[in-house]
Amino acid sequence: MKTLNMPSFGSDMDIGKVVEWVAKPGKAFTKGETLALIETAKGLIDMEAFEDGVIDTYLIDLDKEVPVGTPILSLKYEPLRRIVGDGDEKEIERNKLEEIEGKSISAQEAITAPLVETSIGSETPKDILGKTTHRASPAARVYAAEHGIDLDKVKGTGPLGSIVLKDLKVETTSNATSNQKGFDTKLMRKAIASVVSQSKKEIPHYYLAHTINIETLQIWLDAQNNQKTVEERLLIQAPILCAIKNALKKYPQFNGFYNNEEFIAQQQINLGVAISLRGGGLIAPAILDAGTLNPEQLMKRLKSISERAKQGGIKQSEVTRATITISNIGDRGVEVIYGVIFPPQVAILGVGKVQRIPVAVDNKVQINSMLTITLAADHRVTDGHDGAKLLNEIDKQLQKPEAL
Amino acid sequence: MTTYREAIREAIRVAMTDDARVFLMGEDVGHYGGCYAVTKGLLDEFGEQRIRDTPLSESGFVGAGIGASIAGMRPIVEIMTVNFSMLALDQIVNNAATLRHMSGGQIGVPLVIRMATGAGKQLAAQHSHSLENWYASIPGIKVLAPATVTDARYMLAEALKDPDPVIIFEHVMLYNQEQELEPRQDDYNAFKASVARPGTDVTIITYGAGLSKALQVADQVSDKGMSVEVIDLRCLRPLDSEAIFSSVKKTGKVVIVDEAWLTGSLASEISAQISEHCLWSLDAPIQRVCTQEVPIPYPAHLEKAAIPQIENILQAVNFVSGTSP
Amino acid sequence: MKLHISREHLTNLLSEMIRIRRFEERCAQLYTEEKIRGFLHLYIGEEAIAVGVMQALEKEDTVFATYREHGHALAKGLDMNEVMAEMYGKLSGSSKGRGGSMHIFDYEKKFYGGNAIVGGALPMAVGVAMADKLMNRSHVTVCFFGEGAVAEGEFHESLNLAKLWDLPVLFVCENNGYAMGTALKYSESQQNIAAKAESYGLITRSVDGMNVVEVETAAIDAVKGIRNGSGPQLLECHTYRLRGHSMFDTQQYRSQDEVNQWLDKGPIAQMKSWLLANVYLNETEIQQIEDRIDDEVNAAIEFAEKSDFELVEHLTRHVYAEPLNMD
Repeated sequence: MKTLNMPSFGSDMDIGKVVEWVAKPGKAFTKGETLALIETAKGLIDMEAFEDGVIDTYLIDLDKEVPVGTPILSLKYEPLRRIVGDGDEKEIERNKLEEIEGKSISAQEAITAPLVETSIGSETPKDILGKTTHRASPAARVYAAEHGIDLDKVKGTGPLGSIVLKDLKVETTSNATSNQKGFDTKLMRKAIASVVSQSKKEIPHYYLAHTINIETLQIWLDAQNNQKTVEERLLIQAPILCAIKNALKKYPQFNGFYNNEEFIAQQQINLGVAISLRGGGLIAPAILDAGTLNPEQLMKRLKSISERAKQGGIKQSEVTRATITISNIGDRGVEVIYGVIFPPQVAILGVGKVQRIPVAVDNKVQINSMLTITLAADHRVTDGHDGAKLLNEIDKQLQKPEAL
Repeated sequence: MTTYREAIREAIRVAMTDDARVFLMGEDVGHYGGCYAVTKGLLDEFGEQRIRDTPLSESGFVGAGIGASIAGMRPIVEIMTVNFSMLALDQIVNNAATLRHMSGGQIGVPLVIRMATGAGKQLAAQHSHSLENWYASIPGIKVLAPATVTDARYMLAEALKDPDPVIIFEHVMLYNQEQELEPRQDDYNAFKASVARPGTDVTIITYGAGLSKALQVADQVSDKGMSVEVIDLRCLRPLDSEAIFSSVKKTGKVVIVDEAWLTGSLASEISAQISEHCLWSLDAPIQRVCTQEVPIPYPAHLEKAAIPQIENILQAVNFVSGTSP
Repeated sequence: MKLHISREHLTNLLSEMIRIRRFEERCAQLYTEEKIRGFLHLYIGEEAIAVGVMQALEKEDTVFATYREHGHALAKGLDMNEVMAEMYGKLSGSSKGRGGSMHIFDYEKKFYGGNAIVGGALPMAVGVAMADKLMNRSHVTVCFFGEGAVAEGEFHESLNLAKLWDLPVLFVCENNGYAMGTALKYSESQQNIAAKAESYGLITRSVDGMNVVEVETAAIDAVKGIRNGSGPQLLECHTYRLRGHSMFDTQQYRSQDEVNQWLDKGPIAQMKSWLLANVYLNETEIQQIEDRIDDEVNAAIEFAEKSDFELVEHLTRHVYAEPLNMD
């Protein structure tokens, strides 16, 4: 059935109603004739016929408001157009347009997903504290979260009494003075003595050393640092720690605890970093959950624990939960260090200093940056074969610093 | 030492000498020598066809500039001040900015419009507007604001090279400004911001006449150990967001100096962008230093109180850093 | 004034007018079916002006028109498929679908668009003529506008500039008596538009816009004069809009009787009856012309229906010559 619909007379017309039928059913009408009077918000408009035809029936009642596009008239099919072309008079059905109409898509369908993206900030650090009732600047909140500072205990000196970054940096040093007692050197030495003695007594250590060509790493590091401010600079420890934790993922037998004659590998990688303290102390707090961190993030965490180690503010969990320890003696100018494993860990890695020495590269002598990494590991859990694989993996990782 | 005015004059001279398609038209640019004496002497040098005085028909001659640029010339249209540009707003917004789009990319409008802008000479409400933000909000045009003599000298050529309409705003208080004209660097880019003064504690973002005030404030506080970074936007559309964000992430504290009225100012747009992209780096609320919500008054003390002054900027800098003056 | 009245030429004029008429009628229908959206301003009744004036122009002459410009576009030689596709908003449209009914552009064919701002194109026409003159080209720029534009400042500024600088512009005023719903007598203290142009020093002519031959002859004369250095001229064509200002127009401002009076005076009706009366054409031949045009219009509609819309992902194209990365 061919119908004519409530016509649209404008984009702001949504509804209309027929207030008078002009063309009658059964009687032919011609193009241009008025079929009905339509009432719209702007007033009365004639609905005109665009082609000749005959009405079959009216489909709606008078004065009934309907949306634009609603069928209001049905028509009888009448062949009306002739094509004069090849001499034959052909009668065709009018409204060839209908065939075309069926294939169109509406503008609505053409529009798929919304294109415009709302602008959302790109930085969202993991643990944003929102719990303090005090006003604190976003930067201060981020810093506090990263350093485990309780904002409720901080006095703010920023705009309108808000807590700002400089208030937190003061905070950590005052923390240090109050915690100074916990780092009594004599007591610490006693504790260390106890640990290392136990370690040497109980853990059968084996030792491996591997010299790594870090020329590529050094070049990459310099390039990275060229684009960074002094604050953001990466020290070589950062990519090394990154390589280590990546290697540990492949060789989890070095990342875990040996207790009661049983080794349990740990899912989470907590990298213990040996830090020597002024006055002769030693502490090895961990960068917790280092598994997903990139070198920049590791650098930040390393700085944070180093600062806090020296000023106080290391948390209990950070000290007891290291799953492996790394001892970096490089900045003391020593090439190789063999560590003592801190039980219940099963390995300790040592990182020596960066040396510029002649090496053979493609059968030619070149000066490259080299660095010796050592492994002291628990022979009850692993042996030299495994250790070699671990060190080689670390080497491999460091040859592709951009993938760290 | 060159004045801002002389630099622009030289820029026009060189452009017209180098390219026969370039000509300048506007009110009183020829026989009068230019309302701000920018075009003094150019009529004698280039003649009436190329330094063309127009009747007081802003809409007419801006539209003519559009038509001429479509048909192959490179006109520089001078609208005496932004205050009169509103008579040509239809041509600028409905034609220059839209022709490329409406024609589906067929027709470009390589037109350059220069306008004086700003307050400070007790010229009262109808002669003191800063409407850069209106123009900077319109897709299809580009907006430049030279704040230094060097930029006054070299931005025009960049604008003339651009295939899209470019509006250059010259602040009235800068015409007499005298500075060393620096040579044009190979990587000169008119459409980027510059770090006018590097710093680490607070960022001041500004353009046009705000630059010298910002630099003075930076000098003042450096005596107290505060390091202020001043960003000269130079290009108002497109905004150099990268430069803005980079500075804000460094200092965490921002003051934006803008001579437009506070509401709907460019400072507001920049503020919104900063809060969207740099929230976690902010160490204090963003401060906007803009003109008060009043038509510019005539008496000197009121005009001064209405537009951003060094004291206002200083106050904002102290606020964000939590220091007392 | 030499009248150009060969059978072939007049038949041609009739065809062009019918072509515009049929296009417009079908657009009206499509609009009620919501295929064409936004605003639709029909040229029905005024076809003689676009067709007549275009006879006087060369390909390199530029044309500016109004939002009622479909007829001008077709008469200037734009492809009907592309114009119809533009009405539909499809990518294959003359403005890549970006403009719609009021913004048909074809740079190659020097058709510099429909313009939705009354009077908005006059200054640009002045500018193009200025460039042509400065670059020593012998082109003429034609700017079509309605009598409503005469009230806008831009009309006066543009005529003044054109005469002051002696520019090759032909201003064509299509005086159909109504600016939307406002009759001329309600808007102009001086209703004689030609007089206004004369006061600026332009050579002016006033013709019957329903007579395509009269329009053509006047246009040829005017353009010849301009090319020979007469300076700008104005051609006023008296005409009548047989439909409303746009589709959604209840036409409460004029009586049906008035409209009816003009129906027989329309340019196509006039030309048809003249050709028939003078036995230049018979009914069958006219029917053939109409059928051929129907086919062309149907093909254009089919082309438009089948064409694709532009991808939403390309939304921010065509703002600048090079994309800017504003986010």
